[in-house]
Amino acid sequence: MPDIFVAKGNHKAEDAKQKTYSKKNDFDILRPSSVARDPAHSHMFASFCQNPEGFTFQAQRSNEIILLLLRRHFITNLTWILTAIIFSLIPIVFIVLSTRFPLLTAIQIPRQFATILTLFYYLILFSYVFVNFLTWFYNVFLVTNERVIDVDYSNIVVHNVAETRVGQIEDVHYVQSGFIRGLFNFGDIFIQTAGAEKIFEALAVPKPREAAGIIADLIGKEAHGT
Amino acid sequence: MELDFLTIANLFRSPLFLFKIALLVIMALFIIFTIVIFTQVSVMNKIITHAQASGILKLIAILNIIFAISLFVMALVIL
Repeated sequence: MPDIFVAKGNHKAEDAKQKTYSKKNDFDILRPSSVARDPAHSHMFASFCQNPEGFTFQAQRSNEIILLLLRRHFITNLTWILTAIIFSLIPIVFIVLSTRFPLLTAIQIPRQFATILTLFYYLILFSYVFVNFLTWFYNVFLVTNERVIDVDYSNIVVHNVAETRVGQIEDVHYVQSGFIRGLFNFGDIFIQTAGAEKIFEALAVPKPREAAGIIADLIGKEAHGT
Repeated sequence: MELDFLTIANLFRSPLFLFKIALLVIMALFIIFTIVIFTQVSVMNKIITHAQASGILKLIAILNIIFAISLFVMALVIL
């Protein structure tokens, strides 16, 4: 129930509360005038970005401010990066080995075929890297002062955008389990809502405790983790 | 006419010719794939826009298409 009449005396108490909040870093983010931005984490490829600069999204209202931008931790990209490095070395290794072991070049391929095949191989590899990067880059979880937006870009042809208003959030919790997750400080955040999309999830995001805390502060609740 | 038919039939017996056709078909499919990537980048740039990254990603997607088409043409000419 919203308060219709508020006694004058209560303003002082609220002002005092505001001052107490302003001392805390977590609440700095809620105030648009103060930019609690860490320059090291506000570049375009950041995974955890408070008050990101230069980012806008579709259907963003004029008074809507992005408070937090989350992506999967960069370390989760290690699999495809290593795969790409290994595959990029295969032709080089083959050339080196073929000079030592003539058996490898038993099947004679014309030079022009070999050139085209090598170029095509590297172009496919480049596309593989690009698609994986896009999947990471566009899979974002945005927290604004009005709503939470989950952009899923799971496949090159599949994308799903879900959003919920801050007022519809019922519970926020995070899960951080495992050695690697503990070492690099990343985990999953789950947001339970009263909307059509029951659960919003931000998977493998950095600093899950901080991020869940920021969302919990928005709804005036406490985040809990496992 | 009979001679032409025989020439074509012989061409299809050559493994290198068949390999060339297969490679060109795969390259054509790859060009379509790069166009799909470009379309997706354009769509996603509308959903989430970053002042610097959006332009760079779009440029990379265009370059990817250009390289794919160039390679297809190169294969068509050289092979």
